[in-house]
Amino acid sequence: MKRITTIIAIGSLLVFSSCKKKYDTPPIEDIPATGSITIDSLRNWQASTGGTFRIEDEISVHGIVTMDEGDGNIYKNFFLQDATGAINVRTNTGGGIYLGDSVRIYLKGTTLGQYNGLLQLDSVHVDNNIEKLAIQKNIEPEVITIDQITTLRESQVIKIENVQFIYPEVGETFADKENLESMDRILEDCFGYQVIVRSSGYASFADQPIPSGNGSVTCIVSHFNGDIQLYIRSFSEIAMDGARCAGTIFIKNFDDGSITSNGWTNYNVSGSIDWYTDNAGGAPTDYGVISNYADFTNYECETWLISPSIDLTPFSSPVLNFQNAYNYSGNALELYISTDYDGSSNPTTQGTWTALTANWSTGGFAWVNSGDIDLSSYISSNVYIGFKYTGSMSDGSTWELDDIRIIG
Amino acid sequence: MLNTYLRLGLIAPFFFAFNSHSQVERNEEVDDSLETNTPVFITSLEDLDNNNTAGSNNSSGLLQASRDVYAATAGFNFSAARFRIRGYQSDMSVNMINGMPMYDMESGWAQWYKWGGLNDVTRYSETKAWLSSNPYHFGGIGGYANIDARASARREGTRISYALTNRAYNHRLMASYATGMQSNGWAFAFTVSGRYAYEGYVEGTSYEAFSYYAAAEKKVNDQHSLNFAVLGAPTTRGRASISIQEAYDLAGNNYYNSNWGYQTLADGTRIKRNARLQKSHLPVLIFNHDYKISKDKKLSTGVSFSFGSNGKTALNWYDAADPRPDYYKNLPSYYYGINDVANAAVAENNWASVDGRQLNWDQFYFANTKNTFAQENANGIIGNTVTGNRAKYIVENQRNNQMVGGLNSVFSHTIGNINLTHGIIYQLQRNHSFKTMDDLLGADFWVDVDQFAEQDFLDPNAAQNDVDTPNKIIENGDVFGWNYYIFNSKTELFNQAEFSLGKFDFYGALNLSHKAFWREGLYRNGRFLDNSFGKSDVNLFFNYAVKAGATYNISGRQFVSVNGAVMTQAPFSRSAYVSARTRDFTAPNLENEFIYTGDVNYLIRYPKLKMRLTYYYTERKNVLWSRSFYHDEYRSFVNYVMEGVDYLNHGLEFGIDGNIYGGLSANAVVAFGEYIYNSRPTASIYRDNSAEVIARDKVIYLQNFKVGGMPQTAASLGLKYSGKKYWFAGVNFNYFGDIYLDPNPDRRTEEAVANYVESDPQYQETIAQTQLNTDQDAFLNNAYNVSLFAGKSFKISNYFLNINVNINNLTNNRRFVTGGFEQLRYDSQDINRFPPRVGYLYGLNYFVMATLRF
Repeated sequence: MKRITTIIAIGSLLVFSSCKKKYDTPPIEDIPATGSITIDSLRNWQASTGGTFRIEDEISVHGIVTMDEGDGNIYKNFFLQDATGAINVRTNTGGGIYLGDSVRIYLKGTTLGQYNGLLQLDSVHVDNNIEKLAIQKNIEPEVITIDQITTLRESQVIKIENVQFIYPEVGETFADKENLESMDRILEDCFGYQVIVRSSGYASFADQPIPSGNGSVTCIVSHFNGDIQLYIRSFSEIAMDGARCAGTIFIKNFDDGSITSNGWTNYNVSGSIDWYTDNAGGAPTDYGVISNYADFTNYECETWLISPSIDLTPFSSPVLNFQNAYNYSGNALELYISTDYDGSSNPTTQGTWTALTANWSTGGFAWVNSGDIDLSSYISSNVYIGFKYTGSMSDGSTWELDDIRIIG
Repeated sequence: MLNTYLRLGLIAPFFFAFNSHSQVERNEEVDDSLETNTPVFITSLEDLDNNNTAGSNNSSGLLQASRDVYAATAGFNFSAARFRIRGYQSDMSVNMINGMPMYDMESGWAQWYKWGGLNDVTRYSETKAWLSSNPYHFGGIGGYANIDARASARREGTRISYALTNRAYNHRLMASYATGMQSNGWAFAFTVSGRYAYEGYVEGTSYEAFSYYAAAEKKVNDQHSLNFAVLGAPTTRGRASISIQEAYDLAGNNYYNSNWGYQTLADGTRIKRNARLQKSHLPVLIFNHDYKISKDKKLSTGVSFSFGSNGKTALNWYDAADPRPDYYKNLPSYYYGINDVANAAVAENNWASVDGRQLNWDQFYFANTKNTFAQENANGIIGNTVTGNRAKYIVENQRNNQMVGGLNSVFSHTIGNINLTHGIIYQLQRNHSFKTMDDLLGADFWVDVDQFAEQDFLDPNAAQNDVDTPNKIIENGDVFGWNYYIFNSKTELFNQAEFSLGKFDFYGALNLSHKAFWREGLYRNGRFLDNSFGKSDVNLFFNYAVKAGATYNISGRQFVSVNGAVMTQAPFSRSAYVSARTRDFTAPNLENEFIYTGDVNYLIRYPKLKMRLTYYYTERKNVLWSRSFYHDEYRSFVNYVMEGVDYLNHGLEFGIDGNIYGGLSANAVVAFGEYIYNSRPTASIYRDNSAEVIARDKVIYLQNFKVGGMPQTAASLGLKYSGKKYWFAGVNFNYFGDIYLDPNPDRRTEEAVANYVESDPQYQETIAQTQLNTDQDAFLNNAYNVSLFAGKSFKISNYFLNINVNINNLTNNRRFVTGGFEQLRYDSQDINRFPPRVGYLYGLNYFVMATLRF
């Protein structure tokens, strides 16, 4: 019996000593309380100091989160807005900050600077720099029109109504989800104003088709050295299922630096002078150029720039519009249209080509708008636009083209 | 002496299992932890002078591990270097209690943790370390161990022992009492044991374990006896990590453990807390009826039941950065790799301090208590908004609760000189896998959604782990994440015959078995609405196994024996279910494995000289191989499945043990093996959180690659002196060779080297296999250790006191890499970006024990 008692005694000792222990909660320290600065003052501070600098002051900025990472369109950053403006805040880690959070950001240790013109508060530690004061304090986006979007609204949340994605992009995806690459899509209103919507390949809606209808969308205004880019903050805020208004049916703007992308053809009827892209002369983006002058010599040539086949049957009154410029003496650029071209043969021997009239540049590389050229006589499922350039051994102009659009 | 071998032989199969856990581990944190370098099962030479034997009476007992210096050395001296007899994993051998097989039917692995710490009970197992006859069960080709848990099998009396060590734990206290068979026909036996460490050999590895054993036996009459036994070991221990060399170098410690960090208590003191605890308690209950029908007929019937809770805790996080200090983006090398010198300096600075290179628990609490969040439509109730601090960091407990029942009946009888055994065994096991919230770390709740799915899919349902209760609010103790059963059932018919013919002893056995497994999902997963919930199809397999062996008795002192086996083996459900956590989806071709093996042995048994020389050959074909790892480019776990993996294991085993003069004896053991991949398997890669197939039927050029993570060559020389006054002392010198990193199959593909021409050094760097411990300037390439043991017994009136000391790695060699593996993730443009994880032999460690018997 004594032995059994011994066993029980040792046993209970062991059981007792291996009792489950619970960990204490460590003492939690508060983020230091400080004075406050507005977002507008931060912007002025950066503008007056210049460059990127680390904030050493014991000071905080208050604001409401207007875009979070929920839909994956942005990563490791969010947008913060107060009554004086808005700012892009970049964090050390992703997540943890949600739309509608009313926060105080303790600025000591963070950096303030610009990224291609966009004011950024960087190196913000989500846990150590940010105190959540309240949640679900949503800022109602201001409703404005595309032409009112300027860099003055940098990082602010806006809503635009009665807009649509341009016709050629309907049915494409917002971004390249497979290769995780961002893409730009063009949004337009019914007055011809356009703006770029940029989406990340990581966004949950990256592989969704661009909606075909007209309606509203809520966005954050961002920009890249002044070129406006809108960010869709949530896929659920796209409400574009109304009837389309007249808009862009077709566009070639050379911004991708390519002459032949999207099915365009450079056809050498004679000679070997080609169209190319350039942005000389301070152009923000590329345009298409041709010149028969090289090595102090003019070469004889005939070169056509021919669009892909365009289906105009859904539209009743399409018009063509483009920008053009030229310099140096030589033959004028000619504009043609065809509804029976086969897409690949010599345009001087195949297809019926009809000349169209346009407003042409008066020289000196002055950009001129072609005016709206009525295409309603050519409604077909197989429309080609051709620009014919000719040069001789004695002279030749340099012609530039941009923003070739069909609107309807 | 024999008994030493007996006990050491017992542990031999233990270490077969150590490396195999890697098959289920996630987060690339394979549980191939350093603590397994020094098996906790070795309890020193505590019973060297205790000459109890548990011999078997047939001649194949020649091959009992207990009598074999090779098996004893492998178990005692080689195990610290992850050596495995014949390169087998633990699924090649069978552990039994009272003849009932005890292993995890999901994986085939042994489960010593069910009765860890009960060394007083398990010490006297009957063990064979290789192919042989088996009186209980067909067994595995790697041998068997049977623990006799009957009350009458325990030595009568009381035994109290205390051990002090610096290995997995620091203190062990154990007490046993057994009545022996009393005149009233009853026998009782009890053991209790406790093991404790605030911190074991590796920093942050805590250890708290209690174990118990109780048995009662009633001898009804000369024919019938009934026995009931229960064994259990509630255990909580902090695990060690296995890391990359950069982390070891930065920490200045080859045993660096990333799993722990300091937590400040309310009174300001700081304690070490380990995020990866193993918590298990799975008691085994077994009831036996032994029926001696007649002098030569015996029927043993048993019913066993085991159930309980088994879990591993781990950190998890939501909308926060990976907090593990050795995550590759927290290491300086990552930033140097992308030419970001500023952040590399930040990372280096972090690693320079203990706080920076360990977990920061206070920060987790800090972040968790200031993350106010309103979860709308919580728990699937529209309009139900729960507001509070949403957890960013948590400790979750990944549970695999097992419930297993077994029934066996073995009839043995003797006709003339033929011993016949017939057995039937039925087992049904249910593994319940789920997660529970172990600690919210100061937060108010966690929401049961998949963060990666949340960002990847537009459909809000897709992120729901349990779509029937969307936006589930999880508090401490709640179940979440995944929740499913895996059922395994197996029926076996076993027949064995043993007989003698002149100088020959023969045995032969046939086993027919039927196995079924299926999954039953308890959650309808938002990504897999159609195949996550409910009972899956049943996967059925029929298997056969035959084995036979013969021993030729040349002179009564010399023997030659041969053994062979041919068998098929069903795939294990753990490999078969590609992503059991989310859905019912198995590898496309579930086929049986095919195994054949044989050995030839020459044995010498003189009283003062014992020797064995063996050649063995084993082919295991058509194995299903599956692993999971986190791939942060896909932001998902990725399941990598290889089909048609063949293994070839063959080699020589040599052991000699002889008396030199007086009490001095010497022994030598050599293991010379080759374990290789013997086929070109095909691999398929699946994402865990979507149905996407990343790759299908990739050819893996794995033929002739070495199986890594263990020495393929090992040798030991030992001396032992036994004094006349009940004392002994000995020393062993051990050397190891041919240790390789286990290859990452994906690096042995056409795609991996598609961008390199063959003459480019990066081509070879990608596909070549890495051998470990190749430092030519180091003594024996650092691949050695020295162990020392000594003991003495005292008799004080009716009390016996034994003192035993065992020291491993006497020279404190801390540069011996005992194993490692290539990470499954790799960057084909920069092969060193995800370097291999490696483990080192423990430095000097000891085990000192005092035992009192009365």
